[in-house]
Amino acid sequence: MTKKGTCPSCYFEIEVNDDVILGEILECPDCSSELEIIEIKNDEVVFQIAEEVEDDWGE
Amino acid sequence: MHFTLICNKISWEEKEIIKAARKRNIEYDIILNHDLVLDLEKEHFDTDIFLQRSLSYFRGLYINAILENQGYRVINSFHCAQICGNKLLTTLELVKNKIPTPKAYCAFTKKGALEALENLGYPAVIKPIVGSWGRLVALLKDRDFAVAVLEDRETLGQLYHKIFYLQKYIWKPARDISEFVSTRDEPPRDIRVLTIGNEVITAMYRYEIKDDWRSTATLGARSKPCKVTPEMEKIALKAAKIVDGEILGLDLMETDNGYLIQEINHTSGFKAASWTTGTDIAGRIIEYLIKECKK
Ligand SMILES: Nc1ncnc2c1ncn2[C@@H]1O[C@H](COP(=O)(O)OP(=O)(O)OP(=O)(O)O)[C@@H](O)[C@H]1O
Ligand SMILES: [Zn+2]
Repeated sequence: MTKKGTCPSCYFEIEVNDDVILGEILECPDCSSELEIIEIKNDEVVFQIAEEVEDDWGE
Repeated sequence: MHFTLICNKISWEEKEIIKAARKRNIEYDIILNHDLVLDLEKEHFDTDIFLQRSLSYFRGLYINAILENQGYRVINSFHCAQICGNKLLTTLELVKNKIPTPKAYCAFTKKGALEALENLGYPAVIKPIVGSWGRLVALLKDRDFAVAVLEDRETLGQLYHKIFYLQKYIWKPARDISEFVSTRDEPPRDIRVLTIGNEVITAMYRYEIKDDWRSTATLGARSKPCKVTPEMEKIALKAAKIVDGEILGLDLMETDNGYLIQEINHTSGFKAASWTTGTDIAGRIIEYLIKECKK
């Protein structure tokens, strides 16, 4: 099973695995935007553009 | 037992931690820090322990402060994050406890920094006190180059880029003197040691990236498993103890006089270390959380 969502940047329809987790990051296969999964419904996921890395990010 | 994972996003490490928890039937929640709103007086969380893995240093730090103030147990602690997330405070802690670390100076102006660099000698290294992944870590080969970097930071930098942290350059083994960028098969290396609780769980060599002087994994450094020697274990566990660290990634450098602690990471990535050494680091983290909750 897969779920579908639309890239908010280029409107490409992206398929993801059923076991995705809220907050997971993936790259749009069409426009390479970094996307974060912000909602998971039955057969649908909602993406938003992931946060930009800030200066204080790190390990 | 129930734990709460706090993070910026779900990366490989977070997925592994979740998998390891599911495998052991451990219950958990995930909090993405960008959506978080916290009441500074009282927040109710139905959880036994927090695992803080925020990539964002300041978010993680203040979340820890708030949670600990309300009596929650967070790994790693506020105190640990405060020291490890700041290179200057880390050096102070290491120096205070006589743990070998590269000599460093702090200065606040170009003039001051140039004076510190005269004392250190060239080449030297400049680093932002907060930050990671080798970002804005620069090798200052001579005075002219140092002036250029310092002027850039004075005019373009963030507030904390103007607190100049300057470090002695460490000549790693296998380095040709005067050649900073190695073209050999076995390039210069440093060591990443992972500790959990009072134990070293694995270590790996990280090799300098071709045409770079750094060996940061996120910049693409190759790695190999590294046998943990008693000296390595001793210095790593001592450093972990003084910074109050429970789950850490420590960077060691080899010198003719033994190991130096170069830095300590309190929200250490472990993808490279897992793949290189075959250690189930996520599993070990979950086991540690379980153990701590039984206390
Ligand atoms: N004093 C030094 N002498 C020689 N090499 C150094 C020195 N300091 C740092 N390096 C090299 O530069 C790399 C990045 O430095 P450092 O670890 O301080 O920065 P960072 O931004 O915290 O990176 P990381 O994410 O790898 O921890 C190190 O992996 C090391 O190879
Ligand atoms: Zn797209």
